[in-house]
Amino acid sequence: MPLSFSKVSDGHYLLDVTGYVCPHPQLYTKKTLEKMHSGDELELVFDNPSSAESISAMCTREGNPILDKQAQEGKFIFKIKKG
Amino acid sequence: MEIAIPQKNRIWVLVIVGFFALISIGTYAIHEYYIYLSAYLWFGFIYGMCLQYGRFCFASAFRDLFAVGVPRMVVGIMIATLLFSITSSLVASTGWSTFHAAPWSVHAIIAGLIFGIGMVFAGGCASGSLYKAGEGNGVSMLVILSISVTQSSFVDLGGWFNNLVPKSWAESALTKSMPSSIKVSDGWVDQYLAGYVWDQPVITFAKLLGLEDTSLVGAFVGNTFLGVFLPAICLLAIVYTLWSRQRFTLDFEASEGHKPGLADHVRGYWEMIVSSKRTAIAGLFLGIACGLQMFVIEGLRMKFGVKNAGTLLQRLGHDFGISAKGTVFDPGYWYVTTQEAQWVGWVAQKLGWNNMDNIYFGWVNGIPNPAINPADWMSVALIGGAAVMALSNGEFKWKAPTKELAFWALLGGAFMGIGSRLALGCNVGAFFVRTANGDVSGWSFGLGMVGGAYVGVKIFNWYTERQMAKEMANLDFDL
Amino acid sequence: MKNSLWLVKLIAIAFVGFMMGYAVPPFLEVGFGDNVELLEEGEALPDDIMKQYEHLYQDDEDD
Repeated sequence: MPLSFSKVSDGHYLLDVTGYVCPHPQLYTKKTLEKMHSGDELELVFDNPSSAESISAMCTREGNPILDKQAQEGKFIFKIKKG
Repeated sequence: MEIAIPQKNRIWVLVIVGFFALISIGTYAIHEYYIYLSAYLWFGFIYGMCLQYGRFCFASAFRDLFAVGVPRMVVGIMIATLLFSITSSLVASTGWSTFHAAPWSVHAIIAGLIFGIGMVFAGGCASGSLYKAGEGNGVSMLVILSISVTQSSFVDLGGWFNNLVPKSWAESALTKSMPSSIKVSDGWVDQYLAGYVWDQPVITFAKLLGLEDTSLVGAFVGNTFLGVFLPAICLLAIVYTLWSRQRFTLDFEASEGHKPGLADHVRGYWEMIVSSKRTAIAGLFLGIACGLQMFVIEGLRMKFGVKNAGTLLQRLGHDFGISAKGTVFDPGYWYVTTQEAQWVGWVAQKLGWNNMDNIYFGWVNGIPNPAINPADWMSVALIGGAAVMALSNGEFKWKAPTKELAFWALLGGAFMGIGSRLALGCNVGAFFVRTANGDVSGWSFGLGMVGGAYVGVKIFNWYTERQMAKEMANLDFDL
Repeated sequence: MKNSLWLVKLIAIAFVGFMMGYAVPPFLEVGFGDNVELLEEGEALPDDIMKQYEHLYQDDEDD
């Protein structure tokens, strides 16, 4: 499945990088967050376990809190707020 | 994080573990010697569990640092290297280490560079792809295939490629005594090995201090303290200064109201080291397991009175694919790439490709049947161990590669295949194991690999930027 | 689920422990030091083969 980025509502975006392996998910997340406005929320969907650790560390470092983390059957859904 | 784990995962876990246990017990019942192969198997299994648990990907260390500024894996690798170094110095000081340092020259840096670019393209290095294959990742399986085929073909490149061999290599290679079955003058890699690499000096940190690798002082002061501990501390200090200090300073000022002093930065440095618990724990166990494997394999060699598994295989009646000097690939420690070349080499041989006339297969490593190749047992079990861990944590998922990712996987795998043959190892065999054992060429490979990661990330940044622009162009994203 | 992971770890440790049982005695036999000549256990190899192996490690082309 190719990369998919969409706007859910005002200030609320969805990035789906399911199927991608390292380093794609973390790179796309970083670039997307850079383009968003402070206070916007991003729902990130991915299924590469190795990216979970890197994305968490990246968000902490850049001051973008992760509001919610969910995982089931190899699929991860993170809700990230742009700081 | 809420994770729902399906019941069928538990069954699969038991099936995988049961399979390995059955192999070990069954072969042991046939002959005691098979325990040698089982030793590789169970350590491989442990490596797989540790790697998956810690998302312990050597490739991501510098890639994620350059790409997204995350230092966790550099920290994890340094912890693992230090611990491995302590355990292997202990083994080395008995005089029975299975480790032998590699020749050192600029070739290690160049090889590391090629390997480093490849690992970024492929999305994981040789060991990382094994554990990710255990997570059900089809892209990683393609990477493994690409590394295997590239290596196996690369080591047997002759014909026109002989024209690319410098004259001095060709002349020097001819002076090495080889049996007539090995055609040293035909093959680029043969002449690179015999005519160049073997002529390079072997340097360890202990030897630089004028000490012996096998003495207690040489192993601990030379190889562990000077060779690993000091460089690791410095490397992490650089990483902290460039990537972690800024965040720490911001957070510190926000909570304390003044700028952090030196003591505070030391605390920040320590926080960076312990920030990813998973990675640190995995590094800890990996380091210990790697040292234990050296100990166990060497103990078994003493017990059976052999220096190489080739002798055991011959005693067991498996004499196909043993090298001209009676050996098979049997590193005695964690290694990834050569066994991948071997299984494709074995298949190629069966299909009629004569690849036993080169040094790599014919003189040194052989191409034993993968079913009784000790190092292949280690890799298969590594994938199994990773699968067990992924299933237990509900992270296992079959993922077929897309065309886009398949392209990167094959390209990256080919780069890594060539890089690992030039370096005589991958991030594990050429960097991790060598560095931990005080081999100067380990850090040289690492230096090249860091440079390769940087170049790879630059290329990927450009590529992902383009993909994003395409995706966002369809959308009313006014940023 | 956690229970079966503990079982897995236990099995892995049991196998490694069994192998340690094989590996430790030869080490004790030769002692922790450079006592290579003490290794007479098991089926010792002819000298010329040992020489070839030395050559292998000197070249150290692969590992």
